[in-house]
Amino acid sequence: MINLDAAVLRQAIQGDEEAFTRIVETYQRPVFNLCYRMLGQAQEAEDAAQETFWRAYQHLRRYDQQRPFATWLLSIAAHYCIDQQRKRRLPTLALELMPDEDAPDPAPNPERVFAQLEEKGQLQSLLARLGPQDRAAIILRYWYEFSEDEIAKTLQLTVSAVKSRLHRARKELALSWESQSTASLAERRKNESPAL
Amino acid sequence: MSHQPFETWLLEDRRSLSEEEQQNLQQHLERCSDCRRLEAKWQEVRLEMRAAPMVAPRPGFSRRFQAGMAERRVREQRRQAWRVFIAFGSSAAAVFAGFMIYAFFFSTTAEWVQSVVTLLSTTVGAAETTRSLVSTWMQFTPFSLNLTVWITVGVTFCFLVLLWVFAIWRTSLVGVINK
Repeated sequence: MINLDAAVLRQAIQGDEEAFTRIVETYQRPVFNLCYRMLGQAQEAEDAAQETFWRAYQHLRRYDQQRPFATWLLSIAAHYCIDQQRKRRLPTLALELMPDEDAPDPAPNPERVFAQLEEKGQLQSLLARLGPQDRAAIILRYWYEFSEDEIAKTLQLTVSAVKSRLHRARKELALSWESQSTASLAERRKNESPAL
Repeated sequence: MSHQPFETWLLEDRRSLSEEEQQNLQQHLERCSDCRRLEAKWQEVRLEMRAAPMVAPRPGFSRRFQAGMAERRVREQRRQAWRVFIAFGSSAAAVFAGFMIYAFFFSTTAEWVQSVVTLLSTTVGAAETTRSLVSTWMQFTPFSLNLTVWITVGVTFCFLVLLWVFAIWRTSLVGVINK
């Protein structure tokens, strides 16, 4: 996880808006990624990330400096996304609104782009099958390399609750992946040309 | 066949298992096709997640945040101003309602009428006393001093009224700036 300059953080806490803008620039990607993985739509993720930074800005004085700043910020994002998920119940996925990737391919290859989109879509639809808190735990574990203890602090759960959520989520993901790949294989066979 | 604790183990980080546990898990996987399949699928998902990159927002995120922040700040200030008005209004209403309830339960109609008459006569008496004080003052002081005093009182009153109107306008339109 990116480390923020302590002086910038201190300035932001003292009300320096320029310093806070630097915080936004530093953490926009991890916050947006968490929101995107949680909500599955780029526009919703953008709104959630903006809301996260606004909440952080409002409550910056309450931030405990003993705690890593990234954990605090991601905790705000995770809680906001969990609330959004609970409000809307049915997750949706818009493939046409996929955001930019880390390393864009210099040579455009339509087949490859489509395959990537499909893979991302599959991954997002797998995540969408999980409950909001289970999903948040999985995202923090596999995209941010958080330990169980860090996940517990971020999501305000006990370590044993995190362990059981991770176990349940991993099993659910494996089973969903199996059914998804079976369905995808059957679909491919159906569409194959008999001449080939 | 019992899948526990093997199912738990295979979904966890293998490095957290002891050597004996790893051997037991391996033996169980050789015998149990369900656990073998689950393990294979979990490893595929895990690799997919590890390979999935961190997605970035559209360019200009912090610029959009700054623009949004200005709007949110204005909204928040207005909301705060409304909260202040509502708090004052409801406190005044609560005091008035409390007074009315107290009067309703602890006074008779005759006492109400008596109180109103007493209040009116006191007010009229006070106004009369003020008028006689002012006329006495005007009789015994020179005209220039009177004029100065009246102008000062009038200007102060107008200034206070303007200040009050400005405060109401600013609070309702711009809100309270909380720095």
